[in-house]
Amino acid sequence: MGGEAAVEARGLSKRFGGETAVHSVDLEVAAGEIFGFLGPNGAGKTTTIRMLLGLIRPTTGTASIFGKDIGREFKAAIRHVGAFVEGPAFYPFLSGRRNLRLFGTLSGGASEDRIAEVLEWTGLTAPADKRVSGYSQGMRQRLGIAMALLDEPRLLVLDEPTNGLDPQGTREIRELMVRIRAEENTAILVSSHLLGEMERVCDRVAVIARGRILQQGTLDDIIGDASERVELGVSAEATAQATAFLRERFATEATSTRAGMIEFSRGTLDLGVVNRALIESGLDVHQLTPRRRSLEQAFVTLTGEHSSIR
Amino acid sequence: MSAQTTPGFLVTVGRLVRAEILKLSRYWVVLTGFVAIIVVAIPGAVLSYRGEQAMNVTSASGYEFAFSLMVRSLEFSSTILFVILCILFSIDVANSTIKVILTRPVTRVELLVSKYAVAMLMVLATLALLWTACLGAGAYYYGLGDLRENEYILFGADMMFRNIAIASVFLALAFGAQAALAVTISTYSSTMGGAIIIGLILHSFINALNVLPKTLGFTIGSGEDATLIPYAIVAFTSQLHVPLGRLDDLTAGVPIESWWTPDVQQLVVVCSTASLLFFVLALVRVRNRDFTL
Repeated sequence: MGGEAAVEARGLSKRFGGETAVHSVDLEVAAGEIFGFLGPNGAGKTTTIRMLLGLIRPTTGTASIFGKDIGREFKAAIRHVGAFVEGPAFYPFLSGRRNLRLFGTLSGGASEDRIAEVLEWTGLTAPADKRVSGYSQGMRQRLGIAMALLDEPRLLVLDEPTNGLDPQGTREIRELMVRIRAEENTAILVSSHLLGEMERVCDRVAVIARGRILQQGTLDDIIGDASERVELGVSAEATAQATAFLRERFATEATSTRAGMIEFSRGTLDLGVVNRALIESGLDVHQLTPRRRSLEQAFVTLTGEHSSIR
Repeated sequence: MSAQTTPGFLVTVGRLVRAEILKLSRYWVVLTGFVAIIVVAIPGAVLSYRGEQAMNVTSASGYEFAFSLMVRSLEFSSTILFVILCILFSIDVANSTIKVILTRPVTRVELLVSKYAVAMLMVLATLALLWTACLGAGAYYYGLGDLRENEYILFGADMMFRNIAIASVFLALAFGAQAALAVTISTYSSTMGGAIIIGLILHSFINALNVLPKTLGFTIGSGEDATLIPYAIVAFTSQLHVPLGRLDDLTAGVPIESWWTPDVQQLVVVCSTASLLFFVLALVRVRNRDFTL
């Protein structure tokens, strides 16, 4: 990557008591890119982000933001950052606008124009003068993001920004990230366990599980590492027979995803040959579809986990 | 882009204090506390006056009425103020707003110093409110001019108010030590309720043991006749300025001409040391705490 890195972490580890939550994490986020930090719940995403922002002290390792060490030059490093860490946080007895004004004071005072702009971006112009205690979860989430955007940051850190949002809200956040990057050239570090969403916006991702970075790179690096998958549709009764046939005849790891549907790795197989062999063995082929692996599938392959991701 | 220079310590503390005042001035719990402080003083004044009328006794002056009312109001107000100050830091931990604050160009030390600054402002506001209410009541019922006996001026009004100001400094010092304790408790708690409960327990102990000498004063007389006149009551800072109600019982011409008495020195030393100790404890906590909320 050329130029100054927005985030650079080297060997970040964190122990809580006898338990190591994060093991020697190396991360690099380039200026102006959208970087996805992916992992299931409890993988160590939020702990890593807290260390990057100085909210908790790393047991070992260093982190810097635009070349400034977060431990030694905290104020110089953090002044370029807008952060939304693990859920929104406000004073519920104040309105959304007053919360923005109040937290803006800490950085020297946000202009009313800027407050209006971030409220408009997050769709909160109408309820801005109502007390936050009356906001829905989605509105609070969006206000949290508005707060992170307030100081025109060069780096936006969003930790699970779509938690608690409906599909429409999730789509809006996704579009907002793309817009912010396009309009303000802001680097965005976004953590999520919603892989489908991340796949659509991220330039690069890092996959973390059980406190360790498993892989880091472009989506093509991660998804393209595995060969394409193939989906085979047969009658429900023939599922077991077809699965066994594929394993024996083509030595491929075929698995039944549900009655009548089988998935297998394509590898170097010629699908025409596979189709002919299935028919000649007396199986009715309803469907034989090559499918590129999704980020989610790549993730499951990498981590062996799937219970807490979508 | 936002400002390119990193703000200095005082600038940041100033911003934090401003934000804190903006916040607290709209928090109903704090507003209720301050209303209670005033509400206690004003009906207290009416009841005291009516009580005096019923018993056929009167205060010797508006000052004495005000001082008497002040000491009763302070007892109650100090508890309210202590409770309010106990939530000063924990409100940000409980609402998780601490993570928003600490991801701004604000260091932990600056944040803590700003909390202490706000605590002291609240102490001064409380004293100002109480003096206003108590002296106002004294003026309303008895007047607050020069203190006279027959045609002689015993103490001029300017001297009375000067002494009130000096005594208020010592009161602020004593209350400041209590405020420092409250903020320190607040830094060790993750919930407002927890901070208040622990705060009330410690406040009761401190009052019972008189650890922080908010009632330190000067001693009049000696031996069995020795009487401690708390500063909280008198606002007189020298034995030369004894409340008129006590003059009849005293030997004239008490030979101490300075308010810098051993008791005052003890108050200054104890309260300053306690404040410093509490601040260091809070600093250790805040600097080393992992905010994992």
